[in-house]
Order: sequence, then structure tokens, then C-alpha cells
Amino acid sequence: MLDPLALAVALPLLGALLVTMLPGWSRTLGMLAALATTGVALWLTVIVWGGEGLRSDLGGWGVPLGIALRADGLAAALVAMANLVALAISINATGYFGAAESSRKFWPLWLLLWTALNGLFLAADLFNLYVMLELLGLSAAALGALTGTREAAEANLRYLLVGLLGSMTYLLGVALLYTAYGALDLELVAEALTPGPVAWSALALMIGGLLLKSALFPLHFWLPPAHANAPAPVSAALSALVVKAAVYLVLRLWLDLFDGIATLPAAMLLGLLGAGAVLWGSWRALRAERLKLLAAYSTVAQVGYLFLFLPLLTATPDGAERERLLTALVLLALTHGFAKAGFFLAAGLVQKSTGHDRIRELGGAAQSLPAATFTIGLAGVALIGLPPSGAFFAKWVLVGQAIALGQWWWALVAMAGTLLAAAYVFRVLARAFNREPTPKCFLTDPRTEIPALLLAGLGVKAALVPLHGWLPQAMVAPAPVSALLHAVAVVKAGAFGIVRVVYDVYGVEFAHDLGLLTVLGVLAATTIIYGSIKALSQDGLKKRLAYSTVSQVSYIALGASVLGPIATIGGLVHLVHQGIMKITLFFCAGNYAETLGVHRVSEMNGVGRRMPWTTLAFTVGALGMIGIPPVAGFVTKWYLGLGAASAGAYWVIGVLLVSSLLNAAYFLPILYRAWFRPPPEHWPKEPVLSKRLETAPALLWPPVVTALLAVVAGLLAAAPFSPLEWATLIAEREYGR
Amino acid sequence: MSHEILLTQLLYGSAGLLFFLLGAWSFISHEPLWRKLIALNIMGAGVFHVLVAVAYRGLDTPPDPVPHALVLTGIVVAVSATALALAFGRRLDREEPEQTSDIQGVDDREDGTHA
Repeated sequence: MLDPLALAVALPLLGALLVTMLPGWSRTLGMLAALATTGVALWLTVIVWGGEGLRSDLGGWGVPLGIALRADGLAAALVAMANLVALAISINATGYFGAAESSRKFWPLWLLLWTALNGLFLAADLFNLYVMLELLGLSAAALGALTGTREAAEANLRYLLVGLLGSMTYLLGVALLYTAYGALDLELVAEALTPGPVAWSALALMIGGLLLKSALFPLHFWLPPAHANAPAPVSAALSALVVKAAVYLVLRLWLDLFDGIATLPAAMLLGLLGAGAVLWGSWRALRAERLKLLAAYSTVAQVGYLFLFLPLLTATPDGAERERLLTALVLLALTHGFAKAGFFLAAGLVQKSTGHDRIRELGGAAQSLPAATFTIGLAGVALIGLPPSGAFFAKWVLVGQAIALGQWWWALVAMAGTLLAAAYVFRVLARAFNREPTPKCFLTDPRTEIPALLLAGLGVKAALVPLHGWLPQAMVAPAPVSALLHAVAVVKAGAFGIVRVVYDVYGVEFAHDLGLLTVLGVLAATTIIYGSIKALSQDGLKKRLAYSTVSQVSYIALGASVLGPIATIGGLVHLVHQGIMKITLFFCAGNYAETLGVHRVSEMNGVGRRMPWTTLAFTVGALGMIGIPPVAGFVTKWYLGLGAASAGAYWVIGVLLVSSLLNAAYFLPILYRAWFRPPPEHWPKEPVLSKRLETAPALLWPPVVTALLAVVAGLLAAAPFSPLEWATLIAEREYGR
Repeated sequence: MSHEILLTQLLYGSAGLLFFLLGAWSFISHEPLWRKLIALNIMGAGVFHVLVAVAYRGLDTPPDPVPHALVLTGIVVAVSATALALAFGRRLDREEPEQTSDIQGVDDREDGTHA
């Protein structure tokens, strides 16, 4: 009997061992392990999706002696998404690292990180959580230092030591619990736990240790220097991912294990520390002299917001209100993850191009680095919590519930923090925008700017498309990998974003009554048209695709804004379809750049003859984007149109028509060039790859397969487990009752 | 008899807690990273001490195996973490840090600039 729970942890671990023993085969073996793990994770998800939660005692040893793994709905969802993203990273890593020395170092660490991730989600006992947390920390620290620079080593050493202090404290808490109750299993301990000195000490030790890892004021001391001195992508990953993982565990313990033990005064204490973090972090950010230090202190403040939720959660009885608070909490964490990752990447760009990141001397940065400055602005919107960012919705719920419970002081803290955040963000922007003349070109270095931009944009859009926390791992991956991931990210956004925010937080009817849906719809329609027009004027292939993503993502919001089940299906299914098609296009763009050195649309004459398979895949993706049957994009637009007509929102059909025309206008010229223009005599870069295939197999197969998927998803839209079926299920659950 | 067990456990357990506190104090009050690393290992020893004390059930009864397993796992984790920290420290101690150019080289390649 094969056990998907055990395999999900064992397979990447086995892979890590194999690639360590046979470094010459690391790519092949690593890919095999990645594929197998993802397969198992999806299998696990299908099982949990179809029935009850899974639980398995390893080796047949029951509790309290054995080690148990379990998967409830949430864990399964997280596992599925984390693994899909990890697979995409792996596929691209094969093409990206090639056979370089860094590939051999990358694979073992990456697979270990993957093991720890799956283990953390599935662990059912306190001690396993400790082991997985340590494994995650160790492999993250090592991966972070992969660049080999001194700064990276120093930052990661400091993080490692503080992380160890935190986990030792956590472990002492575990030892206390075991002494008193003789169990480690989360459920068993939760049942046996009674209020008393032991439970309180354990609570204090465990939560305290994790607070150190999540850098809550006044235990934040290690974060600003570590995050500000590390290389920008590492800081982005640390701020967005590692800190969040600890916060996640705090919540899990607080809500699952110590529910009932954690008294209101204890929650108040954490809330108070959170308030201190919000005010102190924001104040220090306001006074910071360097851009990255500002971002790091802002992280301290943002973690504080998350802890403001705890006293409210403890005081709110189970029910819709509590669910709404939890959703807002998760939303805030995600928004901050994206915004801060984007902010750090942009700060890195500023530092790289100007040689420093002193805020005082930023004058004219907006002129020389428009995209980076725009990114900081976008991220700032999310950090302040302006609409339409996810932070706005989260803070709205926070303030509303604080006042409803009579704990109005948290609302005051949140508002003061918002004002301070506005002050520190505008301080940067005011410096950046004070010189003439205006720049000629928006993007100066698309390869590095677009990921930052997209991240910040996602932060702002998180209300429309919040992903869950694993995307920031993309930052561990090299730049093109992350560009690719944004396409996948959009896929994941849907189920968690639209459904959670518009439906769970507000409820469709309520949101409609508020007029929220109309605002959302108008914003979405504007974004669709704006993104399409911008895409039309881009010569860089990846730039054009990026603007196209901006436009396409808003279809999802458009679907959610039209009140009615059919348009909802259209919007949701678009999440998946758009992801498949856009990933195809990004893969192809990468292949052109990698094989022929073609980066611009104007260089694409005749690429169809040189690289027929890649171009075929690109064609399928592009046709799908326009919405031509039988590609998946057609299903989406059909449902959106039908839904709009049945809800009487005829203006949506107009938007669909105009945007489809624009899509055709920016994709068809590319296809015309690729297939019908004669190729140039010399490509910008002559391929030295295999003679039989048009490019390296690792680069060729992904787009061909995803293009095939796009057609299949369109043709077999009514088949079980197709994206359309899933979306219909979700829509029925929302509107059915 | 049970009195002796209790006393032994109490002694070992308190010694473990004392270790933990000493290590924590040393970690917080000393700046050099090496001292912090040593302090961490002392804290770890303290926690393991407590767990070993918990496992003791008298001379006639075999000890509880679960805490022993925990201690063994904990030691492995602590050793790995210490090794990684030492590796980082060695990198830091080099006067001229070696520039590993793999990653940068790959970065260039994607952009096609090296060609």
C-alpha cells in the first residue's frame, strides 16, 4: 500500500540524497524527483478533495510512539500549490543553471527545502514541526548564501544563529509539554491540555521562540541589519518567506493547540507587542537613512500588524466574524509578502545603478530608474494600505472588528501606523521625483525590473489576486524563473483570492450592496484596456507579455464583479487557463532569448522557420489569449460574455470585445513576423546546441506540453477535473445556497 | 524509592534548566558570533538534559524511549546547524572572499550579453 503522505516527504528527500551522491546526474535525478513529488502531491490533493482528511502513522507505529502525518483541506491545498510552483522552478532551473557548478549545489539544497516544506505542512506532532522548521531554516540559509558573497554569508550566519535560539526555546516548550502530558501529537496534546503553570510556561516558551523567528518587537533586533545588508533577492526572500513561515506556526499553535489556554491577557500582551512593533518599526523606517534599512524596519512594523489580530481573534467567538478576521490576517501576510519582495528588489536596482541607497541622495531616481521607482510606489501603496491593495481590505476588517469588540485602541494603532507608513513611503517618492527632464524609456533593465514590478503589482492587486505565501520562494530562484512564476501565480490567485476576499470576507450579496463590485468591475475594465494598449506599444517580447498579464489578470476580477454564477465561472476558469497559456508564452520567450538571442518583437522575423515547435506553442498561447476556439481562452471569454448578458451587465461585453480586438492587435503581428517574414541572415546569437532539436530539450518540452494543455483544457472543458468543472463547483458553493 | 527517583529527576531537570538559562544569558550578553554559537550548544545540552531526566523511570523500569529518540534527533539537528554556522564563519574569516562567479555567469547568459 503506497502512502501519499509519506511519499510526499520521502521522495524529495530521496532525490536530495541521490543528487548528492551522483552530482554528474543531478539535473536528471533532480527533475525525476521533482516530477514524482509533484505527482504524489497532486494525488494527495485529489484524495483530500474527494473525501475526508488523511492521516497516516509511519511504519505502523501509532501515537504516542510513532510519527504521524496528516493532511486536512488546508494542508492539502497548500501542498498542491507549493509543489506546482516548486515543479515550475525545477523545470526552469534545468535550463537555467545548465551543467554549471552551481547546478550541483542548487539541487540538493533545493530538494531539501522542498522536503521541509511538505513536512511542515503535513507534520502532525510538535517535535516533527521542530525538525522541519530547522530543516527549512538550514536549507534556506544555505540557498541564500549560494551566491557566495561575504554579505550573504554574514546575513545568513546571523539569521541561522537567531533562528537556532528561537528553535531551542521552542524545543524546551515541547519538552515541558511532553513531561506533563506524555504526548507530542498535536491533537492529543490539545485534548489533554489544561490551564496551569506548565501549559502557560510551554505556551510562553514555544510562542516566544517563534516570535524571535518572526521578529516581533522587541525581538526584531536581528532583522534590520540582516535584511538590509543581504543581497536584494535574499532580503526579499527573507522578508517575504522566512519570517512569514514562523508567523504561520505561531498562528497554528495559538489557534489549534493553545485554544482555550491562551487567555485574553496573553493575547493582549502579544497585541501590545504588535502595537509596539507597528509604531516603533514605522518610526524607525521614517528616520532610516538607507532605502533597504527603511524596507527592513517596515517589515518589523508589518509583522506587528499581524499580531494585532491575535487579541481580536481570541475575543471573537467562532463563526463568520472569526473566519473573516482570519481571512483578513492571511490576506495581510500575503500582500506584505509581495509588496516587500518587490520593494527590496527595486531597492537593489537603485543600489546597483546609483552605487548607494541613501534616501537623501535619491534625487532624480525616478528619471534614471522609472520602473524601479514605480515599483517602490506600488509597493508603498500596499504597505500604506490604500485601496485597492489587499492591505486595505485587511486593515478595514481589523479596524471594524476592533471597534465592534470595543477594543478601539487597536484601531488607533492601525491608523497611526498607516499615517507613519504614508509618511515614510512619500518621503522616498518625494526625493525620487524631483528632477527634470522626464525619462525617455520606462524600463531600463527589463530582466530585473519586471519581476520587481510584477511583485509590487501583485501586492497592490492582492485584494483581487492574492496568492498564498509560497510564491515568494520564487525569489530564491533566479530572475527568469521568477518572471515565469508570476504566470503560475495568477493561477493560484483565483481560488484563494477572489473566492476568499469577495465571497468569504464580504459575501457576494453584501459586496454588491456596498457598491464594491461596481468599483471592482470598473477598475478591472480600466486595467484590461490600459494593459492591452500598453502591450501594443512594447517592442520587447517579455515586456509585451508582462503588460498582457496585467490586462489578463483583470478578467478574473471582472468575472467576480459581475453578480451571477456564470460570470464567476468565467472569471475563475480564466485563472487556470490564463496561467497555462501565459506560462507557454513566457517559456517560448525564454527559448527565443536563450537559443537565438531574440529579445524583441522586431527581431522575430522568421523565427517560425528556425524554431517551428516553440513557435507553434507560442501561436497556440497567443490564439488562446485572443480567445479563438478551441483553445482554452475561448471558454473563458464565452462564459464571461454569457454571464454578463444574463446579469444584464452589457457594458462588460463591450469591454470583452474591445480587449479581444486589442489582444489580436498585439499578438497577431508577432505571429505574422514569426511565420511569414523571411529570417535574417544572422541571429543575434548563434545556437551551439543539439542539431536534431531546435533548442535544448529541457527548454523545448515545457512550452509544447503547456500549449497542448491549453488546447486540451479548451476541448475537454466539460471533462471531470478540468478547470471549468472546478470553477463550476466553487461557483455553485457560493451561489447554490 | 520513588522519593529517590523524584530527587534524581529534579536534580537533572533543574541542572538542564540552569544550562538553558546560562546559555541564553551568554547568547544575549556576548557579541562575538562564536560565543553565541557555543552558547546555543549549551542551551541545546540543557534541553536534552531535561528530556533525558523525563525519560528516567527508576532503576527497575526501562527508561521511556520517546525522549531518547527526541534527544538523538535533536543532537543531529544541532550538529548540522553548528556545522553550517562554522562553514559560514570560515567564509567570513577569509580576508579576500573568493568570488564564486557561477551564478553571475549564468545571469549573463540569460540576457545573451556574454555572446
